[in-house]
Amino acid sequence: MKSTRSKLEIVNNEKHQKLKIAIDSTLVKNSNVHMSHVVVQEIAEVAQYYPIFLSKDGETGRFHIVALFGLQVDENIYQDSALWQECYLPLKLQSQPFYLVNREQNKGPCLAIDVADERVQTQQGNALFDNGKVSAYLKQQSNILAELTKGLILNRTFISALVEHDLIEPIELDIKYNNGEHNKVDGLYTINKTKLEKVPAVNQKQFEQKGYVSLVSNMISSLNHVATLIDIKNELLRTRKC
Amino acid sequence: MSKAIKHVVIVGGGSAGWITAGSISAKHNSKSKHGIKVTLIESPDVNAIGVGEGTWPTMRSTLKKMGVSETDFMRECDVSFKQGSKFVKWKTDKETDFYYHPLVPPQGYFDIDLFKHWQKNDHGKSFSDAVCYQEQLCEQGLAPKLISSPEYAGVANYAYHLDAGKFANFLKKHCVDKLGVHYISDHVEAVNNACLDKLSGDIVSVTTKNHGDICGDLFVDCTGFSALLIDKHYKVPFICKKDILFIDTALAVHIPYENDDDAIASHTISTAQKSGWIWDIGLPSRRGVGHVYSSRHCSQKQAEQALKSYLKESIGERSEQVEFRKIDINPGFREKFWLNNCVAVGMAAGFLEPLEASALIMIELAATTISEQLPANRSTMEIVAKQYNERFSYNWDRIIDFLKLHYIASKRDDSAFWRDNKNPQSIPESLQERIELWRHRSPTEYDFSRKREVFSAASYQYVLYGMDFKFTHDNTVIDEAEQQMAQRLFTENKKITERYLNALPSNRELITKVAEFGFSKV
Ligand SMILES: Cc1cc2nc3c(=O)[nH]c(=O)nc-3n(C[C@H](O)[C@H](O)[C@H](O)COP(=O)(O)OP(=O)(O)OC[C@H]3O[C@@H](n4cnc5c(N)ncnc54)[C@H](O)[C@@H]3O)c2cc1C
Repeated sequence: MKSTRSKLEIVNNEKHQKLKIAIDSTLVKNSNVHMSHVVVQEIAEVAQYYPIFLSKDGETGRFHIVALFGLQVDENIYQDSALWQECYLPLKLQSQPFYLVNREQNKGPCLAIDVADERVQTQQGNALFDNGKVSAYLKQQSNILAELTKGLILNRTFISALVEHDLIEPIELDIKYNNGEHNKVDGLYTINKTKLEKVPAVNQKQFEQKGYVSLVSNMISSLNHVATLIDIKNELLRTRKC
Repeated sequence: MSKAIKHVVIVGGGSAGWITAGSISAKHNSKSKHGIKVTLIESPDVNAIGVGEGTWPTMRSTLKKMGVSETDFMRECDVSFKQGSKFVKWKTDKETDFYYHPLVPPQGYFDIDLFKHWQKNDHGKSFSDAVCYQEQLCEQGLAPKLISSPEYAGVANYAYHLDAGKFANFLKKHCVDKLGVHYISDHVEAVNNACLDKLSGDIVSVTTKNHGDICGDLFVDCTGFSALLIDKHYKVPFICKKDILFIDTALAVHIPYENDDDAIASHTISTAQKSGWIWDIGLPSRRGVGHVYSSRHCSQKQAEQALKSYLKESIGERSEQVEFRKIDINPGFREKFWLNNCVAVGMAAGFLEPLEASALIMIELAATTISEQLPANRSTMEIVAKQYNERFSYNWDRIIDFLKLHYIASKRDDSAFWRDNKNPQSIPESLQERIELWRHRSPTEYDFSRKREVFSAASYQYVLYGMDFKFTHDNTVIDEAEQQMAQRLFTENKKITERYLNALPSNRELITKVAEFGFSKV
């Protein structure tokens, strides 16, 4: 996630020639982040580690695909339990602190860096430039962003198909921890499997061809991680780590 | 065996005709071969009235049941959100005078009467402001929901303001394309009866100019003021209520906004005048404004002048150029609504001044009742008709009481219109009795016996206490637990108000977003 006081600058080999990005700092930086956008290309992988839901964008009401890291706002159970370094990191987080911005019309997106991000410094880490030339690290970051951008477009088509066939339904997590604490999580949505089975055969076939069937089944099976998260959280609560 | 009801013929394609067609066809699966056939005949020569822009929250379930998408409806019918009515200068004729009738009932409405507590320690807040968060939302021009709220779900209870002409067209398209309603554009010239003695005979068919005779099992008269079947054919008497509700004339006008992003009020504004009142309804692209008045108390010229000076406050000198459309209205309703195999809905059944937007909600209620109670065969129709007539006479009477209440709770006596309104001769006995009760205790659900009352006791409370209705304290001691509960509810209301004021977008902002993104179904 972008920090609240971000300051985006278009990456420039003169202005930013000395900048470095601290290594392995992304997890710490996101230790209070409870969810991240994910894109269809990575869903199979993401589903192995995190529960995947749909959630609505507050500004547009449109659906996003998200991986959940915690069971309440600002909670990251993966980081709290030190499990996070074992897990796949969604592209959205991997790409930080770089972003694509559209500054000028018709010129396509430009690579930008959030210079207000504390991972950006000049002492140690991955350099953006080697002797004024784009470093392998920077190249890799811009590839990640390109993949992410492509993914967001693919997401739109996938989600439109789900919406069109009324497959999305709200789900409320009503959690009771062992210590008696109660927690209701709403604003999450998932895919209704029985409705999916009722989609007309023609569309079923399209769903199959476009790979949506496996996306959906990955998303549905990923929900098993919720139970694991609750277990871990119970354990954390018991040892008062959170 | 008695004849099965298989074909419903609706005559008239205004709001009443299409709401009835949509409700029956959705419920009775008209698009399938085995469903009930619904035909709607609309005259190309007679225009629908084209006014009627304020609704009640029931419209949400009415549309949802027809399978209409809220997003489509909002985009195509120039729809904005309505969260209640603001009554200006109704209590006194002071410029600053106003009160609200919001759509959200008072906090703890079913458990406690907050009025008593509000009256004892009034913190300078109006009744509706102290017990309900919606007045503040309206005053700030906020929407009742978020772009992330699902279709038809609200953060605060809400209804709509809509363009009546666009609404009828929208429903027509939906009914024909999605619900299997048969549409005939033709003028009905004659109504054909089974017997020579019309009153005892069923309608067999209606004769159209170009499509011949259209036969049916049940006929719904939605022909508006023409009342082609219920009046011209069956001559069912009209019970005039002008002795109670004096208003009989309307002057209406559309006022475009000056700028595309001008604020849209999220409530109907009703401003009392010397001999009537002015409605002001904000749609996304324009306002609908009109003066309804009693022609016995003021001339058309005076009424036009009053409307112009009202408009002058918002549009300045442009107000001198506007042209008004005049509509005569006759308050009252039919002695019977359902006779033999014919039932009248909408203005054919009755009409009252639009003070609380009661017309469309009555149409919805009628359409729902007819489709839910639709008799299986001709012999059970008599029973259904009897119950229907009883129930709707009751409903019309209650609405008349509720509208009249606005005039008698008012403290205005600055003109003959207001003074005449307080003449006991003009007040129905049913209302006089209840008012007597309400001098000593608040209106409660006990006062209204039916399952689907049009206006609940909460509405009566808002109107009475909004106008400082004279209330005699009962001296019963209120127990401490109840006092604590009341305090808790007042505090709770304050908290919710603050939270919603922070979270909700402006009415204009949300409507713009609906146009761009739409709501999702879930
Ligand atoms: C000034 C004013 C303000 C109002 N404000 C509100 C409000 O805020 N809220 C509210 O709920 N209501 C309001 N109403 C009432 C509301 O407008 C009507 O109840 C509603 O529009 C229903 O009208 P209708 O369909 O019964 O009649 P109409 O709209 O008049 O439709 C009559 C239909 O019958 C057809 N027809 C007539 N004769 C024939 C024939 N011979 N053959 C075939 N077809 C025929 C016509 O073509 C037309 O389609 C208001 C009314 C007025 C006058």
